[in-house]
Amino acid sequence: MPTSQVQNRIDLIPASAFSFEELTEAYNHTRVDYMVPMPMNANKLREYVLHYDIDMKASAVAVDGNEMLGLAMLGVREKRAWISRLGVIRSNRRRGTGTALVDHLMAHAEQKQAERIIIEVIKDNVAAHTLFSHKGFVPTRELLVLRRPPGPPRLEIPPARVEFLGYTAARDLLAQRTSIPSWIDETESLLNVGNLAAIKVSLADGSHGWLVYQNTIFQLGRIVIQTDAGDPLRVGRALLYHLHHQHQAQDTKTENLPLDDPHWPVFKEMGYLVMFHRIEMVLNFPKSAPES
Amino acid sequence: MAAAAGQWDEVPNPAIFSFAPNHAILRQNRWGYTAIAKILVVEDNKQNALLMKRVLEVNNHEVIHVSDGESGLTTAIEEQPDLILVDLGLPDIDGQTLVALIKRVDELKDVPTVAVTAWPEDTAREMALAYGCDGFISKPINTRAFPDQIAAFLTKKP
Repeated sequence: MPTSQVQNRIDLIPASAFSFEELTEAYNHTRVDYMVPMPMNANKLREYVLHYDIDMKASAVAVDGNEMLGLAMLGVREKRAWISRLGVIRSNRRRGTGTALVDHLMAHAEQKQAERIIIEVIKDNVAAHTLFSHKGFVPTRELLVLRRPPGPPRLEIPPARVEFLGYTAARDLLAQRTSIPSWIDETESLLNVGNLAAIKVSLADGSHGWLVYQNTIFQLGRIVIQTDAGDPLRVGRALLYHLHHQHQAQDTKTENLPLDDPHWPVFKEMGYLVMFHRIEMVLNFPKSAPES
Repeated sequence: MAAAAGQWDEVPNPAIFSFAPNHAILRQNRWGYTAIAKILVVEDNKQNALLMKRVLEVNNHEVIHVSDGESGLTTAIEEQPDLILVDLGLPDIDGQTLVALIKRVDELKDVPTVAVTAWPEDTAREMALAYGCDGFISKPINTRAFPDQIAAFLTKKP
């Protein structure tokens, strides 16, 4: 297993060799001029690693002597991997640091027998898009990061039978979902973050569906929404109405709703705003030919 | 008129400060420091915070700086500032959530709250207004325009 590589005075050190405070400081430096600033603190990074199954030995920090140049993290689950938190400090860009980090993570992902590797790039981040395209990653879909301020829903909806459910029911519903989630919305991630709850609705015309979400003291988030029968707009409207009627004081953030999700128009109706867009890109590793 | 430590006396607004907003209370503490307004800056980036603090203090404002959302909320409740500047990208509870919480506190809901952000202007405007901010200021701040931007938000206060 590669532990460090010397390439144009760039050494790659496993992220596990650094404290969370050091990693956070480095990460925040790489993002200070980023299109969408998303700073972290050490506690938040620690949670991030746990929630998204980040392999800290496979993740890497690029250094030149004692100077941190950049970092990148690798999430690892069965047969798949995820590149996240890739960043290079501004003064050190255009010297191959990003490429070295990505190559390192790709090599580790292959060693861990991942069949595919996923990344989400902020839309219009040309540099990142170019880097990953050159590595063979292909765009698969556009994802939305959404926010909704606190407040009651402003729509009227037809009567529905509503059930408000707890963690166990939420977990069971996630096992039934049919959509393909992004890494941060995968069931593994949601079970790691905890504080899950669910809502089920049934409408008079037989439409029904459910919604799973994370409920924390300040914020709702991580919404997974599914229509099992009927019109997604009617079912989605009922689900989001009851969610925000029940939780009027909390604001909401939900990431990576696919732009082509049939429920997206209802999110807009309910007052959700687009913070920014991401493009999911995927590289499928070639499968080894069976031995003859 | 010396006040106790940590407390401010309110003094009438003298004519020489006629440019100051009508509502502005000149504050004088035991060190004789006079400020036009007390401004809370919630900003995690030290350089950005220092720049804002210096520009504001040169313009005779009292500045209180905290670097995370939770501290921002508790400090706002304790200090009752005249204006709150909130970085939308905070490391714990983010700026939008902080603003939403501030607006739920009776003593703070009428305090001008301004988002300070590097987001694209359209997104910044939409997000700031949706969350109840009185406006937004783009980062990096323009140090020449910043004092007038702040004064404009202060004059909006009822």
